[in-house]
Parts: sequence; structure tokens; C-alpha cells
Amino acid sequence: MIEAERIAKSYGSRVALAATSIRFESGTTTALIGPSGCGKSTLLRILVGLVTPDDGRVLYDGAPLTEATSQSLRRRIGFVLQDGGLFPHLSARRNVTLLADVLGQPAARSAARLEEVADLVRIPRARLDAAPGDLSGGERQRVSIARALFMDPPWMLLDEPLGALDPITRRGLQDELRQLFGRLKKTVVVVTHDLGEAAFLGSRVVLMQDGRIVQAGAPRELVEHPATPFVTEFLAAQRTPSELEELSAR
Amino acid sequence: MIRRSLAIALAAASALVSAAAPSSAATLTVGSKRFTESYILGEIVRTVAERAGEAVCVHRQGLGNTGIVFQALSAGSIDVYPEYTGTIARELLGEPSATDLDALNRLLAPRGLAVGIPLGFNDTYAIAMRSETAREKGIHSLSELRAHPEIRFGLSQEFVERQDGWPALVSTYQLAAAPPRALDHGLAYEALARGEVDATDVYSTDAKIERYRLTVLDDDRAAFPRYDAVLLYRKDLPERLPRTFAALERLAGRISERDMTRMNADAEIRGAPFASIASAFLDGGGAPRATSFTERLFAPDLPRLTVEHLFLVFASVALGTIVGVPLGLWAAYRAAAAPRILAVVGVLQTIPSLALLAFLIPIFHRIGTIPALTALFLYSLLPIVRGTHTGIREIAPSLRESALALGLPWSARLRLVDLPLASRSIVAGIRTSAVISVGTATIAAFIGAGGYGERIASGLALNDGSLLLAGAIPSAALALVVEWALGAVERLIVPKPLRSGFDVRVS
Repeated sequence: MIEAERIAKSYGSRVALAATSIRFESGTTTALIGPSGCGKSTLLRILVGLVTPDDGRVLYDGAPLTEATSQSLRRRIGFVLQDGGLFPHLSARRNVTLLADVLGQPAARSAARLEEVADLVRIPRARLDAAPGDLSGGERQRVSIARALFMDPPWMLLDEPLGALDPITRRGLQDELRQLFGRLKKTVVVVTHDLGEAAFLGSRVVLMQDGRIVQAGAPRELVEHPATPFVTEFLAAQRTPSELEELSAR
Repeated sequence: MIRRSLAIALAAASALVSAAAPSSAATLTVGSKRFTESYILGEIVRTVAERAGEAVCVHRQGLGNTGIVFQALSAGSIDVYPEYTGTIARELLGEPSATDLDALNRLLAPRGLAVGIPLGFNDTYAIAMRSETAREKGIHSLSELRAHPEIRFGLSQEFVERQDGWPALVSTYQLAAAPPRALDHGLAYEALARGEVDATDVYSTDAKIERYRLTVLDDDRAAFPRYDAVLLYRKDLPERLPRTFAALERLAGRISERDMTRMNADAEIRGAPFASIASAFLDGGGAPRATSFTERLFAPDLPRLTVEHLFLVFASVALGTIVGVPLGLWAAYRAAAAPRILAVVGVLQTIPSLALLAFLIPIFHRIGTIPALTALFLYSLLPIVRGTHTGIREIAPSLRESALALGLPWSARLRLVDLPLASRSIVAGIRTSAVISVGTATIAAFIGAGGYGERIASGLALNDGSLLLAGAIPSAALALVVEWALGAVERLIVPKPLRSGFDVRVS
């Protein structure tokens, strides 16, 4: 379980995140969604400790994320960025095994684990020796997800993981991610600006606006019982009425 | 990979240091000032001392003006150098009345120095006439000038104005000559050659006396102060190297004004190397052979100069890397410190090199390699610090976030992510530093640190363009070689995917 307790962050006079509390139950997938600048990426970065909140705290299974604990906690968090964040000077294989190598995990164990995650994210073995610059966008995201999964972390945080992909690749990876999250029973928080993707991946959707959480719940709750007119407006801007019907049926 | 390359670099640097550093055997270091006569006398002293077989002899050629060479002697950086009695009395001691060696030695003793071994000639102001005119009119000495008021003088500005110049001449010899024409010294010789003037002031051993076939008039009433060539040395030299000193003592009275004039002409007019002038004189052989440009370029000192030059460049850039990369990292990671660090290394770069050297000599109380290396090291910092700072700052934020979010420890982030990603920019900085250093290292010769600059300094001092080129060409060639070699190092250090055209800013 990941808990955020009254976390707040301002950049100068701009409030990126007003005092916000939210809880992510173990084994569930939550999608953070909202328009650009709503604070969803800031929230995710605070969760992984890349941004220090002005106030409040983050707890992983009750243990607070602090400067002293961040490094060991991060090793149990799988983090995926929009552009993959793969190190361009290392092969895909080395990108995936880097942390294990640094921590001195035996090579045989790493090799076996690499086989497993390569199967999970369906990346051809031959592509593992390529540099990230030589991979396609979809392959890069698969490698990035493999890297996040490598240490078998209980928590996965993904920031627009499919945001930079073409629609066809994106649709395929959405299916795979959904299956993966369902199978691995990890606590997943995924940031996206796409309502369809949020509803498809997440059992719960958290809609944010101007640094606040406007509504959190199952996708159909947002359609059927919008908390504010903004919820309706945001849903309508992204979906046709028939698509919304389909969403509420889910 | 970087760590291994650094280790190789350090090993090579220390090998170079031990190769270039003098051994612990007895050493005699000879100094000289930056003009032809001093270079030649320095070579004669070195050759004689070397043949005594007691000590390793080094000639630090053309260290600089009187002040610098005297400072080097006082500090013990050199053991002996050729000087003139008048200069010691007037410039170094400020006692123009001290004229004989005993008086000078009494004043020098408290400083741990001594003077002796008068070489046999007096290099002072003199009046010279065209030889034909002197013969026609039967003039041999200055006192005979009085009977010839028709003699037209073309004198240098300095000579006309100095108290020990023209005014001394007029009052000592009661001359009634027309007020002299002050000319540029170079023009005075030409005017003399064309017969527009009859007499001019010269130094009594000037090479041009031979070139323009002049007759030097005897200063029979001692109007001009004496500048007898002597050796100025550290007082402990006779005890420290007795056989060497005894050999040097045998030089006393051996070099006449005519000998010296001829040797100056051998160097300045016939372009003979100082070492061969010295050995030709000592061995009583004929005139030393003039040398072609190729011979000067590939003269026997080329390997030594190359080693010295490479050592200066290599050691300063190695030091610059060891200090500059951490400084650049500090600036990159601590944004608050960056402006100050970059400003300081930037200002260092703007200090003119000769000024920096002049500033460093009193700090280290010595000339030579240490202050030169320090100056080159300070100059090497800017490109390396900047390259490192830029290299780290330009890493895409998403890559730095990735490394952090992965939970990599600080040292692993630096070693496996930041340094490799910044390596292209860091190596580019080191390359720039090294190429600049090859050029700047030529300045080091002006304070006796050796290298190709020795030829450039001599060439400048002697107004000898071909000697200057014989130093500048190897220096330029070395810059190309260093650039090429570091290109190879770059291929070794920079990870393959980052090498060409890859931009770390868009991962």
C-alpha cells in the first residue's frame, strides 16, 4: 500500500499540488489523469522521491519515504518514464540488469531473471544487445518496463509510459500492460492524459485539476456521478457519448 | 574504462617526470642572459666544465634579463653565469664606485656569491670608424680624435643621452666635435657603410664590427666604464666542484675582444650554433660551420626539447584533468558554486602568460619547471572545467531521474551514468587544453623550463627568424600529433553509441 498524507508542492507562487491525501491499495492499478499541469506528474514524482514535497509525507506499507530511506525504497519501485529514460551508452541488456549488477547480484541469477522479464514484456533476445538509439519506440518502452520489473518490485510507478508511441503500437502495449498488471498483482500507479487508457488500465481513476484531486473512483462512477461540472467537461472532451456509455458499462 | 585510462596516463606522466628530472649526481647548472654573447659564453663555460668530468653540466640558455638570471643564481637554480663587472657594480649592487674584483667580492660575499675569472675582454661602449677612414686619417685611439673635428658622428639615442656615453666622451677627451646626430642604431650602421657619417657608438665586441669592417678606437683615457667579462658564481662552487672550478679558472684571460667579436659574428652573421662556436673556440679549430635550416631544425637538441615539451604539456594537462574534472563536477552538481568556480578559472585564463610567470617566480623562489608547470596547469583548467560542467549539465533530465529512481548509489550514478554520458564533452575539453598547452608551453623557455620555446626565445633574442621557425615548426607539429593522439584516446573512452552525432539531450 502506498499512502500520500497531505502532500503539498509549490513552485514560487504557482501551486503544483495543494495539500493532497490519497491511498493506493496493494494489488490495485490506479490511473492518475487530468489536463496538462494538473499536478499528476508532480504527485508521481513526489511518490518516487524525485521531488521533495513542501509538506506532508509518503508511506510505503507504513514506512515513510525520507532522504535516508529513499534509495532502498526506490530499489523496490519500478519506475517507467514516457521516453523510457534508457541510458543511451549502455545496451538494452545492461540497462535492464544495471541495478542488479551494481548490487552484486550473481550473473547466473541475473541471466535467468532476464529470460523471465524478456518473456513478460515480449522482447526478442536479439534486440537485447542493441543500444537504445537503435530500438523502435515500442521496443524502448518494453525494455524500460523490463528494467522496472527486473528486481520484482511490489510497486510500479509509470509516467505516461505509452505517451510517445504511435496509436497502433500503443493499443498493443495497452493490452499487454493490462494483462501484466492483472497477472503480477503489483500496486500500480500510472499517469496518463488519455481517459480511455486510464479506464482500460486502471480499476480506479483519479482525476486531477489545478493541483487537487477532483474525483477518485471506478471509471463508471465518474461517468454516472460526476463530482463537479469539470468531470463531465473533461470526460466529454475526450469521448463520444457512445464511448462514455461503453465506459460506464465496464 | 575512464579509471583505467587515467591510470595509464598517470603512469606515463610519472615515467616522463623521472626521465626529465635531473639525477642526484653532482650537477653544474650554467645560466645565460638573452643575448648572443651571453649564450656563447654560457656554452663555453658548460663545455669546459663538462670536459672536467666531475659533474653533469646543464646550460639553461637565455633565462632572461639581468634581474631574472641574478635571481636564479641567488636562489641556487643556477651555479654560475657570465656577467660584466660594470653591470655587477651598477645594476646588481648599486655601487658604481666598486671597480675591481676585490671590492665586488666584498659586496657579494654576504649574499653567498663570488666573482672571478676575468675572461680577457671588455664589452663596453666604444667608438668605431670605417676601417678605411681610420687608416687614411691615421686614427687609432680616442685621444687622436681631438685633432679631427671634421669627423661626423652618427650616434644612438641612448648613447647621446647616457651620462657615461657622449657627455663622458666629450669631457674626457676635450672634443670640439659638432653636436652628434642621434639615429636608430640599425640605421647608424647603414649610414656609416654609405659614408654619410664617419663614426658611431658600438659595443666593443659587437658582431657588426666585423660585418661592416669597422675599427674600434682605443679608449686610452678610460672615458667609458669597464664591463670586463667575468664569471659570477655561488661562493661554494670552488669547494663543491674543485676540479670543475680549476678548469674554469684556466679560461681567465683567454678570450680577447677580437675573439669575442668573431664568435658573435659566427652566431649572428653566419648562423652557427652556439655549441659548435664554443667547441671551435676551445679546440682552436677553424671557424665553425654554418648550418642549413634543416640542420637547425633537426639539431641534436631536438629529442631533449621534445621530451621537455611533452613533459610540460602532459604533466600540466594531467594535473589539470585531476583537478579540473572534480571542479567541473562540483560546479555541475552545486549550482550555487558554479558561477564562482567558472569565473575564477575564466579569470586565470586571461592573465597574460609572461605576467603569470613573473608572478609565480617569487612565490616559488625559483625559475624553471615548477613555476612553468604551475602556469600551464592553471591555463589548462578552463577548458576542462567547462567541458565537465557542460557535459554533466547537458545530460537529459529524464536520464538523471532514471538513475535516481532506479535506486543507484551516488558513486554508481557518477561512474556508470554521469561520467560516461559527459565523457565526450570532458574529453573535448582535455583535447582543447592539450592543444593550447603545446602552444603556451613555448613561453616556459623564457624562465628556463626548456622545450621548443628555447629555440623561439633564442630566435627572438637574436632576431634570428630561422632559429625561431626551428622552434615554432616542431611546436605546431606537436600540436597536430597531440590532437590526433587524444582523438584516439577519445575513441577509447567515449562509449560507442555516444561518439558521433548522438545528442545526449534527447535520449
